[in-house]
Amino acid sequence: MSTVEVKRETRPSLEVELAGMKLKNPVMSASGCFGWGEEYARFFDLNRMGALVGKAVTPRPRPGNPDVRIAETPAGMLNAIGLQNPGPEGFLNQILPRVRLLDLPVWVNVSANSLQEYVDLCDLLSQADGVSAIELNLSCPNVGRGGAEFCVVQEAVRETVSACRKVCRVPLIPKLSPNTTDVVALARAAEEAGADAVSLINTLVGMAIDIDRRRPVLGNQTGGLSGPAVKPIALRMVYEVSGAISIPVVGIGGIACWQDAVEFLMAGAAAVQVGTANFFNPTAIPEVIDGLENWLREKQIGDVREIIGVARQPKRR
Amino acid sequence: MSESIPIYRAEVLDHVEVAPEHFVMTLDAPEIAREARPGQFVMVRSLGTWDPLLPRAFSVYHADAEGGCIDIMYRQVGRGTGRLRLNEPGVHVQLWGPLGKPFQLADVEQVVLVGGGVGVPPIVFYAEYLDRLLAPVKVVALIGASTETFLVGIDHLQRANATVRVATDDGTAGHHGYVTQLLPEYLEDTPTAVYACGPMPMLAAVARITEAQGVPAELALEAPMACGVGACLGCTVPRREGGYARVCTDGPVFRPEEIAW
Repeated sequence: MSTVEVKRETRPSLEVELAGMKLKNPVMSASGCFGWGEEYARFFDLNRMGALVGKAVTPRPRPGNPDVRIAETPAGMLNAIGLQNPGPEGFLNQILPRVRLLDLPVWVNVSANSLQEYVDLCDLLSQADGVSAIELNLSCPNVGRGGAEFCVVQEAVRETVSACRKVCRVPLIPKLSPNTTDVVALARAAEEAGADAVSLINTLVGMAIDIDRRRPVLGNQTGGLSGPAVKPIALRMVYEVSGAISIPVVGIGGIACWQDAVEFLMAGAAAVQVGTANFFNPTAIPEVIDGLENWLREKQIGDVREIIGVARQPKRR
Repeated sequence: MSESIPIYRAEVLDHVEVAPEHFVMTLDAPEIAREARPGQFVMVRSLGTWDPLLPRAFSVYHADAEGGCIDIMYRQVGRGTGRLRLNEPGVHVQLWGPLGKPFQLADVEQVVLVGGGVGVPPIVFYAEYLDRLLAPVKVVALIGASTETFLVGIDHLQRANATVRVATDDGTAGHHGYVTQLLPEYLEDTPTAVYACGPMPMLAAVARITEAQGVPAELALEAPMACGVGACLGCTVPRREGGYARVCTDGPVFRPEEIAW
Protein backbone atom coordinates (compact mmCIF):
# COMPACT_ATOMS: atom_id res chain seq x y z
CA MET A 1 0.00 0.00 0.00
CA SER A 2 1.40 3.26 -1.00
CA THR A 3 0.89 6.34 1.05
CA VAL A 4 0.21 9.63 -0.51
CA GLU A 5 2.27 12.26 1.15
CA VAL A 6 0.13 15.25 1.84
CA LYS A 7 2.10 18.43 1.82
CA ARG A 8 0.83 20.38 4.76
CA GLU A 9 0.58 24.10 4.31
CA THR A 10 0.81 25.45 7.79
CA ARG A 11 -0.55 28.88 8.34
CA PRO A 12 2.18 31.24 9.54
CA SER A 13 1.55 32.96 12.83
CA LEU A 14 1.11 36.70 12.47
CA GLU A 15 0.50 37.30 16.15
CA VAL A 16 2.69 39.77 17.98
CA GLU A 17 2.74 41.06 21.52
CA LEU A 18 3.28 44.71 22.06
CA ALA A 19 3.46 46.46 25.43
CA GLY A 20 1.42 43.66 26.97
CA MET A 21 -1.20 43.73 24.20
CA LYS A 22 -1.79 40.70 22.01
CA LEU A 23 -2.30 41.74 18.39
CA LYS A 24 -3.61 39.18 15.88
CA ASN A 25 -1.21 40.67 13.36
CA PRO A 26 1.27 43.55 13.37
CA VAL A 27 -0.74 45.81 11.05
CA MET A 28 -2.82 48.72 12.33
CA SER A 29 -4.17 52.03 11.14
CA ALA A 30 -2.22 55.24 11.68
CA SER A 31 -3.81 58.09 13.59
CA GLY A 32 -5.57 60.67 11.44
CA CYS A 33 -5.61 58.44 8.38
CA PHE A 34 -8.52 56.18 9.16
CA GLY A 35 -11.19 58.29 10.86
CA TRP A 36 -12.52 56.10 13.65
CA GLY A 37 -12.80 53.19 11.27
CA GLU A 38 -16.44 53.57 10.28
CA GLU A 39 -15.50 54.93 6.84
CA TYR A 40 -13.41 51.84 6.15
CA ALA A 41 -15.83 49.33 7.67
CA ARG A 42 -17.64 49.75 4.35
CA PHE A 43 -14.62 48.26 2.55
CA PHE A 44 -13.41 45.46 4.86
CA ASP A 45 -13.91 43.80 8.23
CA LEU A 46 -12.09 46.05 10.73
CA ASN A 47 -11.54 43.08 13.04
CA ARG A 48 -8.92 41.83 10.61
CA MET A 49 -6.55 44.58 11.81
CA GLY A 50 -4.02 44.15 14.59
CA ALA A 51 -5.29 47.31 16.29
CA LEU A 52 -7.26 50.44 15.48
CA VAL A 53 -5.62 53.81 16.06
CA GLY A 54 -8.10 56.64 15.74
CA LYS A 55 -7.83 60.33 15.13
CA ALA A 56 -6.21 62.54 17.76
CA VAL A 57 -8.32 63.73 20.68
CA THR A 58 -7.51 67.17 22.10
CA PRO A 59 -8.57 68.73 25.44
CA ARG A 60 -11.36 70.68 23.73
CA PRO A 61 -13.16 70.13 20.42
CA ARG A 62 -11.29 71.61 17.47
CA PRO A 63 -13.00 72.69 14.24
CA GLY A 64 -9.79 72.23 12.24
CA ASN A 65 -7.92 74.60 9.94
CA PRO A 66 -9.45 76.73 7.16
CA ASP A 67 -8.93 75.37 3.66
CA VAL A 68 -6.80 74.54 1.73
CA ARG A 69 -5.98 71.54 3.92
CA ILE A 70 -4.27 69.08 1.60
CA ALA A 71 -1.86 69.24 -1.32
CA GLU A 72 -0.51 66.44 -3.46
CA THR A 73 3.27 66.26 -3.82
CA PRO A 74 5.50 63.77 -5.63
CA ALA A 75 4.61 60.33 -4.19
CA GLY A 76 3.20 62.06 -1.15
CA MET A 77 0.82 64.59 0.27
CA LEU A 78 0.93 67.54 2.61
CA ASN A 79 -1.82 67.98 5.15
CA ALA A 80 -2.75 70.72 7.55
CA ILE A 81 -6.05 69.44 8.89
CA GLY A 82 -5.47 71.00 12.29
CA LEU A 83 -6.53 68.10 14.53
CA GLN A 84 -10.26 68.46 13.82
CA ASN A 85 -11.95 66.35 16.52
CA PRO A 86 -14.94 66.39 18.88
CA GLY A 87 -12.89 66.60 22.10
CA PRO A 88 -12.84 64.05 24.94
CA GLU A 89 -16.58 64.19 25.66
CA GLY A 90 -17.46 63.73 22.01
CA PHE A 91 -15.03 60.85 21.85
CA LEU A 92 -16.30 59.16 25.00
CA ASN A 93 -20.01 59.64 24.24
CA GLN A 94 -20.23 59.28 20.48
CA ILE A 95 -17.21 57.35 19.26
CA LEU A 96 -16.02 54.98 21.96
CA PRO A 97 -19.37 53.19 22.51
CA ARG A 98 -19.24 52.14 18.87
CA VAL A 99 -15.56 51.26 18.44
CA ARG A 100 -15.33 49.33 21.69
CA LEU A 101 -17.65 46.73 20.17
CA LEU A 102 -14.82 45.78 17.82
CA ASP A 103 -12.79 42.69 18.61
CA LEU A 104 -9.38 44.39 18.59
CA PRO A 105 -7.31 46.77 20.70
CA VAL A 106 -8.30 50.42 20.28
CA TRP A 107 -5.57 53.01 20.73
CA VAL A 108 -6.46 56.62 21.37
CA ASN A 109 -4.08 59.27 20.09
CA VAL A 110 -3.87 62.22 22.47
CA SER A 111 -2.64 65.69 21.59
CA ALA A 112 -2.45 68.77 23.83
CA ASN A 113 -0.82 72.15 24.34
CA SER A 114 0.60 71.81 27.82
CA LEU A 115 1.93 69.24 30.24
CA GLN A 116 -1.14 69.53 32.46
CA GLU A 117 -3.49 69.02 29.49
CA TYR A 118 -1.59 65.90 28.42
CA VAL A 119 -1.81 64.52 31.96
CA ASP A 120 -5.51 65.31 32.33
CA LEU A 121 -6.37 63.74 28.99
CA CYS A 122 -4.37 60.59 29.73
CA ASP A 123 -6.02 60.33 33.12
CA LEU A 124 -9.51 60.74 31.71
CA LEU A 125 -9.23 58.61 28.59
CA SER A 126 -7.18 55.75 30.02
CA GLN A 127 -9.97 55.10 32.54
CA ALA A 128 -12.53 54.55 29.82
CA ASP A 129 -13.59 50.99 29.23
CA GLY A 130 -12.54 50.04 25.71
CA VAL A 131 -9.39 52.16 25.47
CA SER A 132 -6.50 49.69 25.14
CA ALA A 133 -3.60 52.11 24.88
CA ILE A 134 -2.78 55.80 24.66
CA GLU A 135 -0.61 57.01 21.83
CA LEU A 136 0.86 60.29 22.99
CA ASN A 137 1.02 62.65 20.02
CA LEU A 138 4.20 64.55 20.79
CA SER A 139 4.60 65.52 17.20
CA CYS A 140 1.71 67.12 15.35
CA PRO A 141 3.23 69.85 13.19
CA ASN A 142 -0.03 71.61 12.35
CA VAL A 143 -1.19 73.25 15.53
CA GLY A 144 0.23 76.67 16.35
CA ARG A 145 1.51 75.85 19.78
CA GLY A 146 1.73 72.56 21.55
CA GLY A 147 2.57 69.33 19.78
CA ALA A 148 5.39 70.86 17.82
CA GLU A 149 7.00 72.32 20.94
CA PHE A 150 6.95 69.01 22.71
CA CYS A 151 8.26 67.11 19.78
CA VAL A 152 11.89 68.07 19.57
CA VAL A 153 13.02 68.87 23.08
CA GLN A 154 14.38 65.85 24.92
CA GLU A 155 13.57 67.28 28.34
CA ALA A 156 9.97 68.03 27.34
CA VAL A 157 9.52 64.47 26.09
CA ARG A 158 10.95 63.08 29.32
CA GLU A 159 8.81 65.30 31.51
CA THR A 160 5.58 64.72 29.56
CA VAL A 161 5.95 60.95 29.30
CA SER A 162 6.93 60.67 32.94
CA ALA A 163 3.92 62.69 34.16
CA CYS A 164 1.49 60.87 31.87
CA ARG A 165 2.90 57.49 32.86
CA LYS A 166 1.93 58.18 36.48
CA VAL A 167 -1.77 58.60 35.64
CA CYS A 168 -2.15 56.41 32.57
CA ARG A 169 -3.80 53.06 33.33
CA VAL A 170 -3.06 51.49 29.96
CA PRO A 171 0.11 51.16 27.85
CA LEU A 172 1.54 54.58 26.98
CA ILE A 173 3.09 54.93 23.54
CA PRO A 174 4.65 58.30 22.65
CA LYS A 175 4.56 59.06 18.92
CA LEU A 176 7.80 60.75 17.99
CA SER A 177 8.50 63.54 15.55
CA PRO A 178 10.98 63.21 12.71
CA ASN A 179 11.44 66.99 12.72
CA THR A 180 14.51 66.77 14.90
CA THR A 181 18.22 66.24 14.53
CA ASP A 182 18.31 63.33 16.97
CA VAL A 183 15.28 61.06 17.07
CA VAL A 184 17.25 58.45 19.01
CA ALA A 185 17.71 60.89 21.88
CA LEU A 186 13.94 61.50 21.98
CA ALA A 187 13.29 57.76 21.99
CA ARG A 188 15.77 57.19 24.81
CA ALA A 189 14.14 59.98 26.82
CA ALA A 190 10.73 58.37 26.28
CA GLU A 191 12.02 54.96 27.35
CA GLU A 192 13.71 56.33 30.46
CA ALA A 193 10.51 58.17 31.39
CA GLY A 194 8.55 54.93 31.37
CA ALA A 195 7.05 54.63 27.89
CA ASP A 196 5.78 51.13 27.08
CA ALA A 197 6.67 51.49 23.41
CA VAL A 198 7.31 54.31 20.95
CA SER A 199 5.76 54.88 17.55
CA LEU A 200 7.46 56.77 14.73
CA ILE A 201 7.36 58.72 12.54
CA ASN A 202 4.77 61.45 12.40
CA THR A 203 4.78 63.68 9.30
CA LEU A 204 7.71 65.79 8.16
CA VAL A 205 7.06 69.52 7.97
CA GLY A 206 6.88 70.64 4.35
CA MET A 207 5.42 73.17 1.97
CA ALA A 208 4.04 73.69 -1.53
CA ILE A 209 3.56 77.00 -3.34
CA ASP A 210 0.88 77.78 -5.91
CA ILE A 211 2.84 79.60 -8.60
CA ASP A 212 -0.29 81.21 -10.10
CA ARG A 213 -1.50 82.63 -6.79
CA ARG A 214 2.08 83.20 -5.61
CA ARG A 215 1.10 81.93 -2.17
CA PRO A 216 1.55 78.72 -0.18
CA VAL A 217 -1.00 76.11 -1.30
CA LEU A 218 -2.04 75.26 2.24
CA GLY A 219 -4.13 77.66 4.31
CA ASN A 220 -1.76 76.88 7.18
CA GLN A 221 1.25 77.65 4.90
CA THR A 222 3.13 74.55 6.06
CA GLY A 223 1.86 71.01 6.47
CA GLY A 224 2.90 67.48 7.30
CA LEU A 225 4.38 65.41 4.48
CA SER A 226 3.33 61.76 4.37
CA GLY A 227 3.05 58.92 1.89
CA PRO A 228 5.62 56.77 0.05
CA ALA A 229 7.92 59.81 -0.30
CA VAL A 230 8.80 59.70 3.43
CA LYS A 231 9.33 55.94 3.71
CA PRO A 232 13.13 55.86 3.45
CA ILE A 233 13.45 58.45 6.21
CA ALA A 234 10.96 56.66 8.46
CA LEU A 235 12.67 53.33 7.87
CA ARG A 236 16.09 54.75 8.75
CA MET A 237 14.70 56.26 11.95
CA VAL A 238 12.97 53.01 12.97
CA TYR A 239 16.22 51.14 12.31
CA GLU A 240 18.25 53.54 14.45
CA VAL A 241 15.74 53.78 17.28
CA SER A 242 15.06 50.06 17.54
CA GLY A 243 18.79 49.49 17.90
CA ALA A 244 19.07 52.01 20.70
CA ILE A 245 16.17 51.20 23.02
CA SER A 246 14.72 48.00 24.43
CA ILE A 247 11.01 48.84 24.36
CA PRO A 248 9.09 47.97 21.17
CA VAL A 249 8.99 50.33 18.20
CA VAL A 250 5.88 50.80 16.06
CA GLY A 251 6.96 51.69 12.52
CA ILE A 252 5.02 54.34 10.60
CA GLY A 253 5.76 56.28 7.44
CA GLY A 254 4.74 55.71 3.85
CA ILE A 255 3.77 52.05 4.15
CA ALA A 256 1.65 51.34 1.08
CA CYS A 257 2.11 47.61 0.40
CA TRP A 258 3.16 44.44 2.19
CA GLN A 259 6.76 44.75 1.02
CA ASP A 260 6.99 48.09 2.83
CA ALA A 261 5.66 46.45 6.01
CA VAL A 262 8.28 43.68 5.75
CA GLU A 263 11.02 46.30 5.42
CA PHE A 264 9.89 48.02 8.62
CA LEU A 265 9.65 44.72 10.51
CA MET A 266 13.14 43.78 9.33
CA ALA A 267 14.36 47.22 10.45
CA GLY A 268 13.19 46.36 13.94
CA ALA A 269 9.55 47.47 14.18
CA ALA A 270 7.44 45.15 16.32
CA ALA A 271 4.34 46.33 14.45
CA VAL A 272 3.46 48.84 11.74
CA GLN A 273 0.80 51.44 11.04
CA VAL A 274 -0.65 52.16 7.61
CA GLY A 275 -1.59 55.80 7.15
CA THR A 276 -1.82 57.77 3.92
CA ALA A 277 -2.20 54.57 1.87
CA ASN A 278 -5.74 54.20 3.24
CA PHE A 279 -6.63 57.40 1.42
CA PHE A 280 -5.46 56.30 -2.00
CA ASN A 281 -6.31 52.62 -1.54
CA PRO A 282 -9.14 51.90 0.93
CA THR A 283 -8.21 48.21 1.07
CA ALA A 284 -4.50 48.87 1.75
CA ILE A 285 -4.59 47.38 5.27
CA PRO A 286 -6.13 43.98 4.38
CA GLU A 287 -3.84 43.85 1.34
CA VAL A 288 -0.79 44.38 3.57
CA ILE A 289 -1.98 41.67 5.99
CA ASP A 290 -2.70 39.17 3.20
CA GLY A 291 0.53 39.97 1.39
CA LEU A 292 2.56 39.54 4.57
CA GLU A 293 0.93 36.20 5.32
CA ASN A 294 1.43 34.90 1.77
CA TRP A 295 5.06 35.95 1.77
CA LEU A 296 5.74 34.23 5.10
CA ARG A 297 4.13 31.06 3.79
CA GLU A 298 6.11 31.22 0.58
CA LYS A 299 9.34 31.69 2.50
CA GLN A 300 8.30 28.96 4.96
CA ILE A 301 8.64 31.30 7.89
CA GLY A 302 6.32 30.01 10.61
CA ASP A 303 6.18 33.12 12.75
CA VAL A 304 6.31 36.77 11.77
CA ARG A 305 8.38 37.52 14.88
CA GLU A 306 11.29 35.70 13.25
CA ILE A 307 11.82 38.60 10.86
CA ILE A 308 11.59 41.45 13.35
CA GLY A 309 14.92 43.24 13.38
CA VAL A 310 16.73 40.73 11.15
CA ALA A 311 18.19 43.55 9.06
CA ARG A 312 19.88 44.77 12.21
CA GLN A 313 21.77 41.55 12.85
CA PRO A 314 25.37 41.27 11.66
CA LYS A 315 25.69 39.54 8.29
CA ARG A 316 26.46 35.83 8.59
CA ARG A 317 29.65 34.66 6.91
CA MET B 1 -22.90 50.31 9.98
CA SER B 2 -23.88 51.38 6.48
CA GLU B 3 -23.69 49.19 3.38
CA SER B 4 -20.47 48.19 1.73
CA ILE B 5 -18.92 50.31 -1.01
CA PRO B 6 -17.98 48.50 -4.23
CA ILE B 7 -14.26 48.73 -5.01
CA TYR B 8 -12.86 47.43 -8.28
CA ARG B 9 -9.95 47.08 -10.57
CA ALA B 10 -12.22 48.39 -13.32
CA GLU B 11 -11.44 47.94 -17.00
CA VAL B 12 -11.39 51.05 -19.16
CA LEU B 13 -13.86 50.16 -21.93
CA ASP B 14 -13.62 53.38 -23.88
CA HIS B 15 -11.72 56.65 -23.57
CA VAL B 16 -12.45 59.45 -26.04
CA GLU B 17 -11.83 63.16 -26.47
CA VAL B 18 -15.22 64.88 -26.67
CA ALA B 19 -13.98 68.48 -26.82
CA PRO B 20 -10.56 70.10 -26.63
CA GLU B 21 -8.95 68.91 -23.35
CA HIS B 22 -12.20 67.12 -22.37
CA PHE B 23 -12.31 63.33 -22.17
CA VAL B 24 -14.98 60.74 -21.42
CA MET B 25 -13.82 57.49 -19.84
CA THR B 26 -16.14 54.47 -19.80
CA LEU B 27 -15.53 52.01 -16.96
CA ASP B 28 -16.76 48.46 -16.44
CA ALA B 29 -18.51 48.75 -13.05
CA PRO B 30 -21.81 46.86 -12.85
CA GLU B 31 -22.70 47.57 -9.21
CA ILE B 32 -21.82 51.25 -9.44
CA ALA B 33 -23.83 51.55 -12.69
CA ARG B 34 -26.82 50.08 -10.88
CA GLU B 35 -26.53 52.07 -7.66
CA ALA B 36 -25.26 55.50 -8.72
CA ARG B 37 -27.68 58.43 -8.45
CA PRO B 38 -27.23 61.90 -9.97
CA GLY B 39 -24.93 64.07 -7.87
CA GLN B 40 -22.93 61.13 -6.57
CA PHE B 41 -19.28 60.63 -7.47
CA VAL B 42 -16.62 57.95 -7.76
CA MET B 43 -12.91 57.89 -6.91
CA VAL B 44 -10.57 56.84 -9.70
CA ARG B 45 -6.86 56.07 -9.37
CA SER B 46 -4.39 55.13 -12.07
CA LEU B 47 -2.59 51.92 -11.14
CA GLY B 48 1.10 51.19 -11.29
CA THR B 49 2.27 54.53 -9.93
CA TRP B 50 2.51 56.41 -6.68
CA ASP B 51 3.16 59.65 -8.49
CA PRO B 52 0.59 61.13 -8.78
CA LEU B 53 -0.40 59.51 -5.51
CA LEU B 54 -4.01 60.40 -4.83
CA PRO B 55 -7.17 59.28 -6.58
CA ARG B 56 -9.39 61.89 -8.21
CA ALA B 57 -13.10 62.41 -7.58
CA PHE B 58 -15.42 62.48 -10.59
CA SER B 59 -19.17 62.93 -10.74
CA VAL B 60 -20.94 60.17 -12.58
CA TYR B 61 -21.74 61.41 -16.12
CA HIS B 62 -23.79 58.44 -17.33
CA ALA B 63 -24.75 55.21 -15.60
CA ASP B 64 -25.81 52.33 -17.82
CA ALA B 65 -27.33 49.80 -15.44
CA GLU B 66 -28.11 47.31 -18.24
CA GLY B 67 -24.67 47.57 -19.82
CA GLY B 68 -22.94 47.53 -16.42
CA CYS B 69 -20.77 50.56 -17.09
CA ILE B 70 -20.41 54.20 -16.10
CA ASP B 71 -18.95 57.26 -17.82
CA ILE B 72 -16.94 60.00 -16.20
CA MET B 73 -15.92 63.20 -17.93
CA TYR B 74 -12.86 65.24 -17.06
CA ARG B 75 -10.82 68.12 -18.33
CA GLN B 76 -7.11 67.40 -18.51
CA VAL B 77 -5.65 70.14 -16.37
CA GLY B 78 -2.99 68.73 -14.06
CA ARG B 79 -0.86 65.77 -13.13
CA GLY B 80 -3.71 63.55 -11.97
CA THR B 81 -5.83 63.97 -15.08
CA GLY B 82 -2.68 63.94 -17.22
CA ARG B 83 -1.85 60.47 -15.89
CA LEU B 84 -5.49 59.40 -16.18
CA ARG B 85 -5.43 60.25 -19.88
CA LEU B 86 -2.79 57.53 -20.41
CA ASN B 87 -5.17 54.72 -19.39
CA GLU B 88 -6.14 53.28 -22.76
CA PRO B 89 -9.08 50.91 -23.25
CA GLY B 90 -8.20 47.49 -21.82
CA VAL B 91 -6.18 48.97 -18.96
CA HIS B 92 -7.56 48.74 -15.41
CA VAL B 93 -7.91 51.57 -12.92
CA GLN B 94 -8.85 51.42 -9.26
CA LEU B 95 -12.41 52.62 -8.74
CA TRP B 96 -14.70 52.95 -5.74
CA GLY B 97 -18.17 54.38 -5.29
CA PRO B 98 -20.84 55.57 -5.66
CA LEU B 99 -20.07 58.11 -2.92
CA GLY B 100 -21.80 61.09 -1.35
CA LYS B 101 -25.37 62.30 -1.23
CA PRO B 102 -27.33 62.54 -4.50
CA PHE B 103 -29.74 65.26 -5.64
CA GLN B 104 -33.23 64.93 -4.11
CA LEU B 105 -36.17 65.73 -6.36
CA ALA B 106 -38.43 68.37 -4.83
CA ASP B 107 -42.20 68.44 -5.36
CA VAL B 108 -42.23 71.02 -8.15
CA GLU B 109 -43.46 71.45 -11.71
CA GLN B 110 -40.17 72.66 -13.18
CA VAL B 111 -36.57 71.68 -12.62
CA VAL B 112 -33.82 74.07 -13.67
CA LEU B 113 -30.40 72.48 -13.99
CA VAL B 114 -27.37 74.78 -14.01
CA GLY B 115 -24.02 73.43 -15.11
CA GLY B 116 -20.77 75.28 -15.56
CA GLY B 117 -17.45 74.05 -16.97
CA VAL B 118 -16.58 70.58 -15.72
CA GLY B 119 -19.66 70.73 -13.47
CA VAL B 120 -21.81 69.55 -16.37
CA PRO B 121 -21.61 65.73 -15.83
CA PRO B 122 -24.02 65.40 -12.86
CA ILE B 123 -26.40 67.81 -14.63
CA VAL B 124 -26.52 65.55 -17.68
CA PHE B 125 -26.93 62.46 -15.50
CA TYR B 126 -29.81 64.13 -13.64
CA ALA B 127 -31.58 65.14 -16.87
CA GLU B 128 -31.29 61.57 -18.17
CA TYR B 129 -32.43 60.18 -14.84
CA LEU B 130 -35.52 62.40 -14.73
CA ASP B 131 -36.30 61.55 -18.35
CA ARG B 132 -36.00 57.81 -17.68
CA LEU B 133 -38.19 58.10 -14.58
CA LEU B 134 -40.80 59.94 -16.68
CA ALA B 135 -40.78 62.46 -13.87
CA PRO B 136 -43.75 64.82 -14.36
CA VAL B 137 -41.56 67.92 -14.46
CA LYS B 138 -40.43 70.33 -17.15
CA VAL B 139 -36.62 70.24 -17.31
CA VAL B 140 -34.58 73.27 -18.31
CA ALA B 141 -30.79 73.02 -18.53
CA LEU B 142 -28.62 76.15 -18.42
CA ILE B 143 -25.09 75.33 -19.47
CA GLY B 144 -22.12 77.65 -19.26
CA ALA B 145 -18.55 77.47 -20.54
CA SER B 146 -15.70 79.85 -21.20
CA THR B 147 -16.04 79.34 -24.97
CA GLU B 148 -18.18 77.41 -27.49
CA THR B 149 -15.73 74.55 -28.01
CA PHE B 150 -15.82 73.77 -24.28
CA LEU B 151 -19.61 73.32 -24.22
CA VAL B 152 -20.11 69.63 -23.50
CA GLY B 153 -23.08 67.32 -22.98
CA ILE B 154 -25.56 69.48 -24.91
CA ASP B 155 -26.63 66.64 -27.24
CA HIS B 156 -27.25 64.35 -24.27
CA LEU B 157 -29.41 66.97 -22.57
CA GLN B 158 -31.47 67.46 -25.73
CA ARG B 159 -31.97 63.71 -26.14
CA ALA B 160 -33.15 63.64 -22.50
CA ASN B 161 -35.88 66.12 -23.51
CA ALA B 162 -34.44 69.06 -21.60
CA THR B 163 -34.83 72.60 -22.89
CA VAL B 164 -31.22 73.74 -23.23
CA ARG B 165 -29.84 77.27 -23.07
CA VAL B 166 -26.18 78.06 -23.17
CA ALA B 167 -23.93 80.92 -22.12
CA THR B 168 -20.29 81.56 -22.91
CA ASP B 169 -17.88 83.99 -21.28
CA ASP B 170 -16.61 85.14 -24.71
CA GLY B 171 -19.99 85.20 -26.47
CA THR B 172 -19.05 82.55 -29.04
CA ALA B 173 -22.34 80.71 -28.33
CA GLY B 174 -25.62 81.63 -26.66
CA HIS B 175 -25.78 84.31 -24.00
CA HIS B 176 -22.63 86.44 -23.76
CA GLY B 177 -21.89 86.31 -20.03
CA TYR B 178 -22.44 84.14 -17.01
CA VAL B 179 -24.85 81.22 -17.11
CA THR B 180 -26.36 82.38 -13.83
CA GLN B 181 -27.64 85.50 -15.59
CA LEU B 182 -30.10 83.22 -17.40
CA LEU B 183 -31.51 81.84 -14.17
CA PRO B 184 -33.86 84.56 -12.76
CA GLU B 185 -36.33 84.47 -15.68
CA TYR B 186 -37.14 80.82 -14.87
CA LEU B 187 -37.95 81.55 -11.24
CA GLU B 188 -40.96 83.83 -11.83
CA ASP B 189 -44.19 81.82 -11.86
CA THR B 190 -43.90 78.04 -12.05
CA PRO B 191 -43.04 76.15 -8.83
CA THR B 192 -39.38 75.41 -9.51
CA ALA B 193 -36.36 73.73 -7.94
CA VAL B 194 -32.79 74.48 -9.02
CA TYR B 195 -29.93 71.97 -9.16
CA ALA B 196 -26.43 73.17 -9.96
CA CYS B 197 -22.86 72.01 -10.31
CA GLY B 198 -19.86 74.08 -11.32
CA PRO B 199 -17.14 76.38 -10.00
CA MET B 200 -17.63 77.90 -6.54
CA PRO B 201 -18.34 81.47 -7.80
CA MET B 202 -21.10 80.07 -10.03
CA LEU B 203 -22.59 78.06 -7.17
CA ALA B 204 -22.38 81.08 -4.87
CA ALA B 205 -24.34 83.10 -7.46
CA VAL B 206 -26.97 80.36 -7.75
CA ALA B 207 -27.23 80.26 -3.96
CA ARG B 208 -27.67 84.04 -3.78
CA ILE B 209 -30.34 84.12 -6.50
CA THR B 210 -32.38 81.16 -5.24
CA GLU B 211 -32.22 82.20 -1.59
CA ALA B 212 -33.38 85.73 -2.49
CA GLN B 213 -36.33 84.27 -4.43
CA GLY B 214 -37.13 81.58 -1.86
CA VAL B 215 -36.68 78.88 -4.48
CA PRO B 216 -35.44 75.46 -3.29
CA ALA B 217 -31.99 74.61 -4.59
CA GLU B 218 -29.32 71.96 -4.30
CA LEU B 219 -25.70 72.59 -5.23
CA ALA B 220 -23.08 69.93 -5.95
CA LEU B 221 -19.65 71.15 -4.78
CA GLU B 222 -16.22 70.19 -5.98
CA ALA B 223 -13.15 70.02 -3.78
CA PRO B 224 -9.79 68.32 -3.96
CA MET B 225 -10.06 65.09 -1.97
CA ALA B 226 -7.59 62.55 -0.71
CA CYS B 227 -9.93 59.73 0.31
CA GLY B 228 -13.47 60.54 -0.84
CA VAL B 229 -14.99 58.61 2.06
CA GLY B 230 -14.86 61.04 5.00
CA ALA B 231 -11.61 60.00 6.65
CA CYS B 232 -8.99 62.55 5.63
CA LEU B 233 -10.97 65.73 6.44
CA GLY B 234 -9.15 67.38 3.54
CA CYS B 235 -12.15 68.48 1.45
CA THR B 236 -13.94 70.64 4.01
CA VAL B 237 -15.92 73.82 3.33
CA PRO B 238 -17.07 76.28 6.01
CA ARG B 239 -20.65 75.90 7.23
CA ARG B 240 -22.83 78.95 7.74
CA GLU B 241 -23.65 77.76 11.27
CA GLY B 242 -19.92 77.41 12.06
CA GLY B 243 -17.45 74.57 11.74
CA TYR B 244 -16.77 72.66 8.58
CA ALA B 245 -18.64 70.23 6.34
CA ARG B 246 -16.93 67.45 4.41
CA VAL B 247 -17.74 67.78 0.70
CA CYS B 248 -17.35 64.00 0.24
CA THR B 249 -19.73 62.64 2.87
CA ASP B 250 -21.78 65.59 4.16
CA GLY B 251 -22.23 66.51 0.44
CA PRO B 252 -21.27 66.85 -2.31
CA VAL B 253 -24.86 68.10 -2.66
CA PHE B 254 -25.72 70.91 -0.23
CA ARG B 255 -28.58 73.37 0.19
CA PRO B 256 -27.57 77.04 -0.20
CA GLU B 257 -28.16 77.84 3.46
CA GLU B 258 -25.74 75.16 4.65
CA ILE B 259 -22.59 76.79 3.27
CA ALA B 260 -20.80 80.04 4.19
CA TRP B 261 -20.26 81.10 0.55
